[in-house]
Amino acid sequence: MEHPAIRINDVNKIYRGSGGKEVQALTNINLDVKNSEFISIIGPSGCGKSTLLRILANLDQPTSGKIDWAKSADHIGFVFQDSVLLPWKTVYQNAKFPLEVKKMDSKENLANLDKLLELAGLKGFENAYPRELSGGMKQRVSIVRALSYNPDVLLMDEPFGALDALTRDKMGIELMRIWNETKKTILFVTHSIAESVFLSDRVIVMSPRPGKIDEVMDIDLPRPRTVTVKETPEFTTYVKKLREVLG
Amino acid sequence: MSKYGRKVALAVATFLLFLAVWQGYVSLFNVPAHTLPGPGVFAQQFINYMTAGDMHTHIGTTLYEIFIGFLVGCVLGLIMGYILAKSPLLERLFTPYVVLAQTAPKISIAPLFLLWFGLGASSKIALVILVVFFPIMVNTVIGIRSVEKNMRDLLRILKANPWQRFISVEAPFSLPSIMSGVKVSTTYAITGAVIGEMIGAKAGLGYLVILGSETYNIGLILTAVLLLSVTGLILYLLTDFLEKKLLHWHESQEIVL
Repeated sequence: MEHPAIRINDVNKIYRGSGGKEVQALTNINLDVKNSEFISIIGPSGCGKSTLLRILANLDQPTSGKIDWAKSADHIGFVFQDSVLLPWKTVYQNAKFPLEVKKMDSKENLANLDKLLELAGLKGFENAYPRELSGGMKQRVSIVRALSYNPDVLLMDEPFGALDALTRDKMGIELMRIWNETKKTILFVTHSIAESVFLSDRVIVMSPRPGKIDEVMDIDLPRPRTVTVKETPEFTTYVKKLREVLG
Repeated sequence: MSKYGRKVALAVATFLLFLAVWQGYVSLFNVPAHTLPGPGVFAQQFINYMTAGDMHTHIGTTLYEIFIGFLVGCVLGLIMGYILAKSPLLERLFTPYVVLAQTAPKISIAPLFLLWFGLGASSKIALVILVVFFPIMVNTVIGIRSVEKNMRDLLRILKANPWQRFISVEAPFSLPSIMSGVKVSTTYAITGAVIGEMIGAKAGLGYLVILGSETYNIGLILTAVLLLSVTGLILYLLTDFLEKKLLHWHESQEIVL
C-alpha cells in the first residue's frame, strides 16, 4: 500500500479547564490520509474537529499519540474561517506574505503565485485592499496565500462558514477546481453535510464528549463533480446516511 | 458656490463676528487697553512683539523643548511598550511605578526637575518626555496585545521570527492605537514644556506668559498664548496628516468628515 501522506496515531488531547477539571477533547484518533485525498471532517460544535486540525498544524500538542508525515510537518497551508488577511497589505502583498516570511520569493514561486491568483479569479484585484473585497473574495485570497509556498497539505477550518449560502456553493466549486489543478491533500472541517459530500473522497464523522471518530464514509461519486451531482439519488443517499450518523 | 467655498466663507464670517464682539465689548464698556486691548490694538502689539529682536528665540526655545522631548518620549514609550507587551512579568513589576509617576500632577514634579536639570532647556525636555512617554507606552502595549489570535496563529504556521512578527504584523496592527497616543501626546508635550517654563526659565513662550503676568502686560500674555495655540494646532495637523498617510488602509479612515 502507498505510504499515507499523514498517519494519525492514537491521538488523545486532554485540556485542563478552569478549576483543574480535565476535558477530553480527542479520544484515540486514528486516521490515514492518502496523498491528494480530499477529506472532510464533520461533527457538531465541540467534537474536537478544530482541535485535531490545530494539532496537525502544530498550533497545539497532543497529550498522547503522534502524527507521522510522509514529507515534512512544515509543509502545511492553513485556511482560517475568517480570512485573516492583513488589512494594511493589498491582495497581492497578502498572497505573497508567506513567500516573504519564508524567504522563498524566487522568480519561479512568484510566477506560480500569479498562476494561483488567476486560478482563483483574482486577476485585476491585486492592488485592492481587503476592506474593499467581499467575504468570498477575501477567502479566495486566503486560499491562494495558503497555497503560495506550495505546501503538500492544505488544512481548512470551516473556510466557508462565514459566507452566505450562494457564495458558499460557488466557493465549493472553485475549491474543487483548484484542488484538481494542484493535487493537494486537503483536510476540510465543516458543519455542512451537503458540502462535505459534494467535496470529499471521504467524510469523517466525529462526536463530542469525548471527541472521537464515529464513522468514516467513502464518497463514491464520479469526478469531476458539478452542481448537478447534488440532484442525483446517490448524493441524497450519502447525505441521508450521514445525517443519521450525526443523529 | 462649492462646498469647500461655503465652508471657508462660514469660517471667515465666524471669525469676523468674533472680532466684532470683542471690539464691541471693549468699546461699549470702555475697557482700558492695559486690561484688555481691542483686536486692532492687540494686532499692533502682536506685530511689535513678533518683529522685536528676541521673539524668535522664545519661540525657538519652546519648539526645541517640545520637539526633542516629544521625539525622545515617543521612542522610549515605544520601546518600553513593546517590552512590557512581550513580558507580562515585567509589566506586573513596572506598572505600579509608572502609574505612580503619572498620577502625580505634572506641575508638582516641575520644581523637582528644575532643581535637578537647571533653568535651561533640559528640565523642560525631561518634563515633556515624562508626559509624552506614558500615553505612547500604554497605547503600544494595548496595540500589540490586541493582535488577533488568528494572526498570531498564521505567524506561527509560517514560522515567522520575532523581527518578522514585529515588522509585518505587530507594528502595523498597533499603529492605530499608537497614533491615537501620539495625537494626545502633542497636547501634553506643549503643556509640559510651558509648565516647566512657567516655573522657572530664561526663555520660552511659557516664560513670556509669566513675564507678562508679573509686569501686568496683557498684550504679551495674549501674544504668547496665541503663539502656543498656533503651535498646538500645527502639531495636531501634522500628526493628523501622518495618521492619514500611515493608516490609509484602516477602517477609521473611511469616516468622511
